[in-house]
Amino acid sequence: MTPSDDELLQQLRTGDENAFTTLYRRRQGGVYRFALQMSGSKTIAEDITQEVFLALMQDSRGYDPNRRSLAGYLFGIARNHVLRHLERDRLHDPIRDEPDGGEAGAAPPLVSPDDPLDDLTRHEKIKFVRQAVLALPAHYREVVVLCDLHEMSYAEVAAVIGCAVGTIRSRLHRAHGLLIDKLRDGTRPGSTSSKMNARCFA
Amino acid sequence: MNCQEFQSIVRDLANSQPVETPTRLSGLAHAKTCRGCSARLEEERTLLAGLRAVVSNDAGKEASARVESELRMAFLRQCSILQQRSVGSSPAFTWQWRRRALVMCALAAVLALVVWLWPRTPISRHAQPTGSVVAVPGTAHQDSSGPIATAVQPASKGGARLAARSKASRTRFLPRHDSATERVRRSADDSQTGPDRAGTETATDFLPLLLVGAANEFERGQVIRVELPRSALISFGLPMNEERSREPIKADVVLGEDGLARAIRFVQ
Repeated sequence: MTPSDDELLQQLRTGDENAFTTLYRRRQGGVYRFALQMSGSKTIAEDITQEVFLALMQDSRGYDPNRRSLAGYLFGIARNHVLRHLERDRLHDPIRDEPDGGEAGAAPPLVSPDDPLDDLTRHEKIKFVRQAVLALPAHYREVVVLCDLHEMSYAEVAAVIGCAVGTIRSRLHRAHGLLIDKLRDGTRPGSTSSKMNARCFA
Repeated sequence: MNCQEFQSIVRDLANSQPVETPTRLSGLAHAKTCRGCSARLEEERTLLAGLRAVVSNDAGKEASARVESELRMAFLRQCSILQQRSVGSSPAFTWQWRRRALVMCALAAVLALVVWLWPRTPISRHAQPTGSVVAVPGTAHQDSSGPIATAVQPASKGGARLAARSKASRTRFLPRHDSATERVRRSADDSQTGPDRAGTETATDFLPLLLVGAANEFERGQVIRVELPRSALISFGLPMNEERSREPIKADVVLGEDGLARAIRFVQ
């Protein structure tokens, strides 16, 4: 039987290395991807992953299983670290370890044996969406990353960010509007999406 | 449904998330009639498809093995630190330290006592307050008019002063009669009939000495073994064997830090 996160955490607190390894392998992917999608940097994502699990092993008393899941707790720590990194990068020159500025991690092969053209198009599309997400303000970006890329519910995201569900809904709606504008601008310069929305609401 | 209501559910419509059927139908009907909302729905679907592509592209991404190995090392380091801490706070460890601390305190106390007693003046003939009271059997009776100290420790100038004050105020002591009187009476009777038992002592309870006109607070003090004329029993309201009136009687006097006698008991 697979132990739950809480059981593993209890064992971790008693110094069980296997419990720590199991918990890490179960949860590090989500934390790493969240940090990667928020920062666009593989190096920062790894640093944040490390800091999140260090924080967990050193002091997990802030985790309340009745309030939110362990995954949500870890995302909360990761979010704080990401925002700190973003703030630092805003003050200094951002560190970019990927020359294309958005394709983090292991890049998919550019040529597919089945349909090279389709694969290239797909790769470009992913890169474009990723750049659009990274261009969002942080408070919109985190909502898109958690709701759309991590498929978390509004309530879970609200627990991670620490605000009301309604705020998450409105931020997500606004973020989608911004993303659609960016995507439209990318394919059709001189977009009139704002005008369209204004007309629609009129 | 108007455009604003449609905008609030457009993500759910595009994402095929569970929306109440009437709301969903109403939203789709609005999209058919409103060209802007229809376009927005289509763009939302395109956006979600792009986001899903990102999700599938990122699905296998994880932190490198280096991060895991570093974290495991950090975990082991922390565990060893915690174990050391727990050993430090274990009952056995704590008890060991407490024992050591007690021994150190005892040694310090002995040292302090030695230092305190060392520079005192030579033995006083009349009174020698001591840290520990030692009864010396067969001490010679030297002066029947006053108390004679029998302690073997070096006497102090302060001790002599204290004893002198005790002697001076002896006449002002008011004897207190209580049940101890009866016990002393029995003891005195025994002393009339039988010889002293070698190696054993019987003593009365301590009789408080109430000093007239003085604040008689007592916190710490010393017990001094003295020899008194047997007639001293009378001044405390105790019976005296007339036949042995010339023999001294041993007594323990409790002296306060101020040198005043606070209590006395007679020893046989």
